[in-house]
Amino acid sequence: MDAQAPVLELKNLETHFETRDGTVRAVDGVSYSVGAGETLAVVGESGCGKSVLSLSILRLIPNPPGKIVGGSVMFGGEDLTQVSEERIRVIRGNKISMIFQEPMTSLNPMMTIGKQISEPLTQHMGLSKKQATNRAQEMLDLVQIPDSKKWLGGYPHEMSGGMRQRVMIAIALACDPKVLIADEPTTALDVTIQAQILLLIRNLQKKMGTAVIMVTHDLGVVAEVADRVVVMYAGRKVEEANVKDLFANPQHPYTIGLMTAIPRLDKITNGDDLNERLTEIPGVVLPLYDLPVGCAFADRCSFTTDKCRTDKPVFEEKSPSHWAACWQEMSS
Amino acid sequence: MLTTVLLRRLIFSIPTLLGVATLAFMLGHMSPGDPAIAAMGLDLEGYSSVEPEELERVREELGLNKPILVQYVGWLTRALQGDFGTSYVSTIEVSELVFEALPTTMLLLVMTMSVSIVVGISLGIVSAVFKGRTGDYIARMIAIIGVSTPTFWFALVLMLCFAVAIPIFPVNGSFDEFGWKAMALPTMAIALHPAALIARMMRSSMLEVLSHDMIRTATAKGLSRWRVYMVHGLRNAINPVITVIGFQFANLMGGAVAVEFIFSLPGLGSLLIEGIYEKDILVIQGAVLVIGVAFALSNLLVDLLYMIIDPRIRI
Repeated sequence: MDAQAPVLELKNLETHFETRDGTVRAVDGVSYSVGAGETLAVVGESGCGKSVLSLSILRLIPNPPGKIVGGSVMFGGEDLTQVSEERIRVIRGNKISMIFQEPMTSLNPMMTIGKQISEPLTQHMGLSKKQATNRAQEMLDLVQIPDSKKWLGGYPHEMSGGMRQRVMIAIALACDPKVLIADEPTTALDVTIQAQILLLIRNLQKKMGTAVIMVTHDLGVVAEVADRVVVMYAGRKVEEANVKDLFANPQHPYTIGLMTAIPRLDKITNGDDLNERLTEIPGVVLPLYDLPVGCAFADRCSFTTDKCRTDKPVFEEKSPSHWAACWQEMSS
Repeated sequence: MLTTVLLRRLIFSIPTLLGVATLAFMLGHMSPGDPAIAAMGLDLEGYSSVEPEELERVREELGLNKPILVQYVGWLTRALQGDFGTSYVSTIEVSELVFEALPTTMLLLVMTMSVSIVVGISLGIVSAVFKGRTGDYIARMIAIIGVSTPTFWFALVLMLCFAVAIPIFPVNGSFDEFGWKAMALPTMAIALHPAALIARMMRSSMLEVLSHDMIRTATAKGLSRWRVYMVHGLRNAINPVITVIGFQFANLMGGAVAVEFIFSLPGLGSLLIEGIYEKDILVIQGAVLVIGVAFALSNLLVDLLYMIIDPRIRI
């Protein structure tokens, strides 16, 4: 997909949480890379470790109890897991930015919108207050907030959820970052607003050449925006492929499960299948402090064999540029 | 917009102030003993030797034989004009006594307030930021000791330690005699309790705010820890603390009455206690009224502070 060198590369990243029940391996050796202008989607159920993974990139995991215990995050020739606190601060919000799931609570209710957008500008780009305010207004225009001058002095509680998420995007993109991590950016929004926000991110990405890591549980969002997809289960990567390959030919039973769990309007309106029930993936994600020796998905999988229970499946290339961690061969 | 709100609040505080005045009047009259006897300079033993006609004459002179309602209306009308009457005992105008005592009490309260706010908020922030670590334990220990120590007892301990055993500060005396040294121990004595309460509130409020998503956003912007805590954290955590500070005023006043008396500071507290000893109703009423009005105004100030700090409250 991308011939160029990756902007951001994760190698065997491991983030653990120490709890009373034991060590929770929230991220258990995940690797991926993303190139300039590319959109990588990270997909998985709640609790599969995808948010922890993205927070780990900028070391935003609360420590204690969380800790990055292994692996590396390579960015611009530096390993972000090893650099000093001062150095990571220069990268946060400047070279790598993040948008969070909850636009309603992610902004500071006591600070004007203009000030919140200017903050990283004065911090990282050394702009004066006036310059930063001008740039903040430009950013509001860029994320299509009407009446931007008026909103500079406005407060988050005066805005709708969609507008707040636009402001979050404006903050994230203010310093023209190389990588934008969007952690479920549309989950808390109405469907119509979701589409607007996704389109906005994509347009800005094209304009600025930003690499985007889109973390989501929504395969609809994946199909909409992603170039490449990483599917996560129980803290591990179980499948990685181009978005078209993945939807046409999923190689991991978990991915297949996710896809069949989506309600499809075309099937329902077909008439014959009116009574067909949605398929679910039986069971729940195992507690991450108590994973089995074999495949973590074995208990919920309909293809399970004895080997699945005793040996961890190898993450291997099943077809060109399509990797999966499963002992079984899935036919398309 | 702020002025409209200010005006409205001021109008709303009129009933409160009226209530305060009524209560001040009642308290004076409900206190045991006959003010007429006090006015004649007699104690209870001298009571029996007084001619009933003489007593009646003094009562008449002081207006004490009129119906209570008439006395109330008369007192209130004069009080509104700043005339609290003349002390029965010292025959000095009560307003003069009150305004002589007021500066000492005001100075004491301002110092106490400043010390307890600075100490309380700093301790609370240290506690929250270093949650579960040594700094937190020390700060919480100080806070627990602070809330559980009675003010008058702490005042006596301070006096024993730093005025008697190690005589750094005077045992008692006014600001005019000893300057700031006279205020140091009383300030510390009164400030301990509110500082501890403020610290506890600050800690819990700050901890709550620090777990909010917006703190993560601020950190993800690449801001320094100091800026994240002070600009994003503190400003969001301060409102409940301001409420506590506002309510502390009542406690402070209570503490000030006892502590002023212990350290013989010539403030409102001392005036009030002397008034009570001597059954000097008008002095009691005047002092209670001034304290009550100050309390009502401090509540108003807290409301206004809220609005200035939190943009969501500007309705």
